[in-house]
Amino acid sequence: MTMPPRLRKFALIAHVAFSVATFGAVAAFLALAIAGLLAESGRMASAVYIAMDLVVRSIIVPLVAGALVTGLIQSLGTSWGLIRHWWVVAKLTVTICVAIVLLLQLSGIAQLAEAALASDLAPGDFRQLRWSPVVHAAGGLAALFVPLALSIYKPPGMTRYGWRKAQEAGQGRSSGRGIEAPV
Amino acid sequence: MRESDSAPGTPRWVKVSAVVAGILLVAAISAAILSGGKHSPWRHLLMSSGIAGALTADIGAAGTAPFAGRAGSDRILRS
Repeated sequence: MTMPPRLRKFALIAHVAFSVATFGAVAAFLALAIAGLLAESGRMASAVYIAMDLVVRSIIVPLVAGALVTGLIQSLGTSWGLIRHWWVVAKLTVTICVAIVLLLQLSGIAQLAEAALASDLAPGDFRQLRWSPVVHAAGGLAALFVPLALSIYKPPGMTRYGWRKAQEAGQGRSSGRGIEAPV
Repeated sequence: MRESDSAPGTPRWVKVSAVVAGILLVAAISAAILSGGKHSPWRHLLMSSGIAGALTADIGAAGTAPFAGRAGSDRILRS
């Protein structure tokens, strides 16, 4: 089922908005994570980790979920499909991996925020836990370039399923049946 | 020109990406094992379920309350 052109445009705008906003939010989160790691003042470190917890829960998680959902709508509502083209499959896989790693990080960030609320953090406190958001945010930011690049370049290559569907559509066209309009 | 009846093979860029992803996965697992298992995704899962007392020894050493498996921001928003 394909969406009508107006709805398709709106869904595309929503998907681009969620994806680009995720990029910016993760970049801001990375800056906070580095500031928290390097902070020499306990008050500074505490303020940073409380802010990070708020940012990740109220901004980054909803944005990633939004990008994932709008991406699904965009692929299922157009002739690109979800598993017809390799670049769509790759993009979906990377987005799901980013979402899983993000969810796994939430408990550690919440732990730092709880500790920051209880008292000012000394530079040596939670050394390993403070490295984690830096490493994961940097990795996440790098990973987010993959869907961005795939969306722009759209490297060629159909999956077996996509090829079969394209063959069926071709037969439909030759036998006079209506087919979906290409994106 | 007649189209081929056989399905196309997997493109080279997909194969290369899969190999790179596999190498990164192995590197991540190796890093988790070399760090004594203290930093792996399972650690976060265990913490969420509240059964990782031994793994959160560094938290106790820092003199703060052990993680209770809930969002810090919930408390922040309420306070």
